[in-house]
Amino acid sequence: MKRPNKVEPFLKEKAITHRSGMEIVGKALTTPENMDGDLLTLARSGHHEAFSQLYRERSDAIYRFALHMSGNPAVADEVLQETFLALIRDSGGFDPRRGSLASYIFGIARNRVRKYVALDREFTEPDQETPGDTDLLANLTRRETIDLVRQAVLNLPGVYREAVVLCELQELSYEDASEVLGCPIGTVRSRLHRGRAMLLAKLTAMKKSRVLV
Amino acid sequence: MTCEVIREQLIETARGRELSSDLRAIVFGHVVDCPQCAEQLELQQRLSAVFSEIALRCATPPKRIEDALLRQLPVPIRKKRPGVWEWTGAGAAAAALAIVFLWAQHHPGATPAAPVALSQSSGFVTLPFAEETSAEEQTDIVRVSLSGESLLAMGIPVSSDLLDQQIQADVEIGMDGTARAIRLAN
Repeated sequence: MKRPNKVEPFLKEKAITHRSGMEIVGKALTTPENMDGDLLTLARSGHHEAFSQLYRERSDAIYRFALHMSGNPAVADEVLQETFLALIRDSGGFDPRRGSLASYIFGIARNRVRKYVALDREFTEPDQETPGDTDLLANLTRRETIDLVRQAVLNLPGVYREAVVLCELQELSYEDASEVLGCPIGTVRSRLHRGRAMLLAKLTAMKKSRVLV
Repeated sequence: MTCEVIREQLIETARGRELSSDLRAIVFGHVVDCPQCAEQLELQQRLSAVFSEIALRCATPPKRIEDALLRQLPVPIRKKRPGVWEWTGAGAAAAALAIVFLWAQHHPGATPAAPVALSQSSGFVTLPFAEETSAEEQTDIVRVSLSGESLLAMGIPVSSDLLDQQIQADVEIGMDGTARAIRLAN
């Protein structure tokens, strides 16, 4: 019998690779389908690299979601931290058969945001619901326009604000947003359409008040 | 199509997503002759452009949050390993496989225990004479490349045409650094 071939480790680096392949280098190996769940399991067991991988992939989106929903960087900080703490401490919550990890994390963040932000405030619609003022978003500097729209988004009632933030500012598909919000795609679409109409009405009112000031 | 029907599609047309090209063509065909709908479409397009710009202005969380979270991760439970070696996962896999292979070489008369499937879904088979993995034990899985002959020597069925080829396999490593089970990667 020949001498045994030298067994060479296929994986040499310690970094965790992403989605493209099968491996979590040097520690665990998984399939792309199970990558999220396996990363989460590793992170919960104290694996720093697995946690960092999860965090790097998800934290920006969660932070921006919280920021767009609250308009407050301090709240966004808190929501982000609490969301990931809940993620690593809640050992039984995530079930890949019920949805993606991204939706699950957004769901946690959504609940945290509700702790800090009153989402059910009354929205007083201006008389003119669908303004025909095409100059509404013109004649303002880019910065002014963005500030105005951000402010108007913050004044939307919760369900419409969530739809606008997820579908427009986070650029999620209707399908992904429906998973996060736990409602049918048609509901997401109608909330978004309603939210946009409210925004235009609100922007008209805001612009008028700015002009008056 | 009436303005009422078209207006339902204006937002999706302005968003430029989740609308079929046929429907979009119908909307654009309508607004050519309908100034009211054209005005609404322009307004919605401007709003979408602002949304896109806000989405592009990427706020990022402060680094201190990740640092704080890392400090709160649980400390991994590790059994004390014999000796002073701190084997990395890959190194442990290589060494463990080599030991199993050498054992097989020096015990030509011994018949390895028949591999037992750990789980049909995972595809792992226990290595002959390996320690049993307890339910609580945390194991690592490491991919290695080794010859078909080596695999055969360990009791893994390999067809004769693969004996001299390098084959990738995943090895389950126990907390004591020994190989417990193996599966072919492909």
